[in-house]
Amino acid sequence: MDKKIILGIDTSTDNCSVGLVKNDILLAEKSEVAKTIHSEKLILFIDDILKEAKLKFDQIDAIAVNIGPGSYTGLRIGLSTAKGLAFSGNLPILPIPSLTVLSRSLDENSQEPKLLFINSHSNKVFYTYQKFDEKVDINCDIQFEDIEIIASKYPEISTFYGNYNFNLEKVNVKELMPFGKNVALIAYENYNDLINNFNEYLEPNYLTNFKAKKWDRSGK
Amino acid sequence: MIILGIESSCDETSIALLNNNKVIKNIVASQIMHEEYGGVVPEFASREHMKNIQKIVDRTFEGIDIKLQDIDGIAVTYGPGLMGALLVGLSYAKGLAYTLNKPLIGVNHIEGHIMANFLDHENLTFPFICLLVSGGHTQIVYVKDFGKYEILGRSIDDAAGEAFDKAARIINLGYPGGPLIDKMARNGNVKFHSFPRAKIKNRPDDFSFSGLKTSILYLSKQKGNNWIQENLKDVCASYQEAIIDVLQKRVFTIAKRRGVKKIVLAGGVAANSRLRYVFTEISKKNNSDIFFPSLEYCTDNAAMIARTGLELLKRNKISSLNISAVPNLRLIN
Repeated sequence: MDKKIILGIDTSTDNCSVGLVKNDILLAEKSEVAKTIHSEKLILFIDDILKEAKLKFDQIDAIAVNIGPGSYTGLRIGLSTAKGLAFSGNLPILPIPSLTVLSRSLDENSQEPKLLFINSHSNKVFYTYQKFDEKVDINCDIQFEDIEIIASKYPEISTFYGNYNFNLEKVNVKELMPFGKNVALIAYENYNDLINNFNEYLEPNYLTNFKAKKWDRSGK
Repeated sequence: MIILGIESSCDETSIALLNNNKVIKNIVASQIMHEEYGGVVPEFASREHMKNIQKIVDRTFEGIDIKLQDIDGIAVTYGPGLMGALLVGLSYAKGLAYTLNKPLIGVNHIEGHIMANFLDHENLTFPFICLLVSGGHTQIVYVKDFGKYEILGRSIDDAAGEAFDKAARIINLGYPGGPLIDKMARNGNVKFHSFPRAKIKNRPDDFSFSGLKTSILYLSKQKGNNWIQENLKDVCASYQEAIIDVLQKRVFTIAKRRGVKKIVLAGGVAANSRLRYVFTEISKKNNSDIFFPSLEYCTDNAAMIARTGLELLKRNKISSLNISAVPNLRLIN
């Protein structure tokens, strides 16, 4: 494969994070954890890392984006920005699942089974469970559940890893954030698969169906 | 100058291309799924914008000679509106402006509605008095020049568009209420029922529409749904008349006092056929000039955003790439 320069974007959580890789080498990255800064800072962060890597935008071969599940608004900021960036150069946008990205933030040598989650709202999380010797790949199974119920379902797991510090009775929770650099690295590793499935009209993976109350026409 | 306009503040995803005052393309994708919820569901609106934006951009550039690189600026609505919805258009615009290295122009959606008039009326000049009526706003604005506004009157509670939508819900007509009531009222008797024309103590130039909504609710409870359905045309006509009556009285009273002979309508409710008729008739009588946008430019559209962006770009009022969406943005800050 030719050398590929990939921009990775992750706005699926409070971590507004971008990274630039050339094949499997990290060129530059920038992140900031805060609420509601993503829309303001994302483009500036991308500009910063391009300058740091001394690259022009048109040298980028693909944009990889955390496709979710995660913060609905966050995912849309990332993907809308990616679409705007991709349009003039007709760049492919490569979608990477949030929990695959999150798994890369784990210590590689961990010999435990993994339960990774991204908080949705209140106690609800998007999660994936992998045995200790399994890698969380881009086809990983992601479920939506209440964190307390997950804890009772997997009594053998002592530690959950995710983006919110839940206070659980029998389980430790360690805070873990997804990063844009890992979005780009995973995209590089799966480049051929992803490029074959490239879709210009990509949408976020919200996972859950949003429900709203329908209008009761009986006149109430 | 060629401006690309992007609008995603509520339930319309729209992209437009403007070459000076000429609209090359204005594509509006209306989200119809909100009907069954009786109003706009913000999360659905955001999801639809996300789903549609690239498709509409692609369609915008189909079959024309203008290329993306020919654009002189990208005008995008940054408020007011629904946060999640605004962010889709704004984020997309930023990405595009960054790679094209073209100016990003943040546009106030309300100002866009006023400027929509210039798309249809090249002979329109400042100053004028503008009645801005939509689902979110009811204001009488003295427009001295581009960007120079003075609010002369405003609704203290519901916007006129809300008064239509809420009434349509109460009488089971559907959503959105404005066009449905307008259509139903066409052959109705405007004097059928006397709905209140609220006056506010010590604030003669302001409006209140919340009492109007309450009065139709009481009427429907008192007379029953069957009675409402039997007299639907007349109920709609007389309800609509109450709204228009209040609007025209305030506007023409203020215009007379200020000595302004040019009246402009703007916003979604300016598409109302009876409102257009009444304002035209009164203007004729007192020798005022009346302007309103074609129907296409009354409701939310990106052409009006591009038109406003053009004026801003001419004045070099461009935005930085860290501009935020402002859901509660006002005409005058």
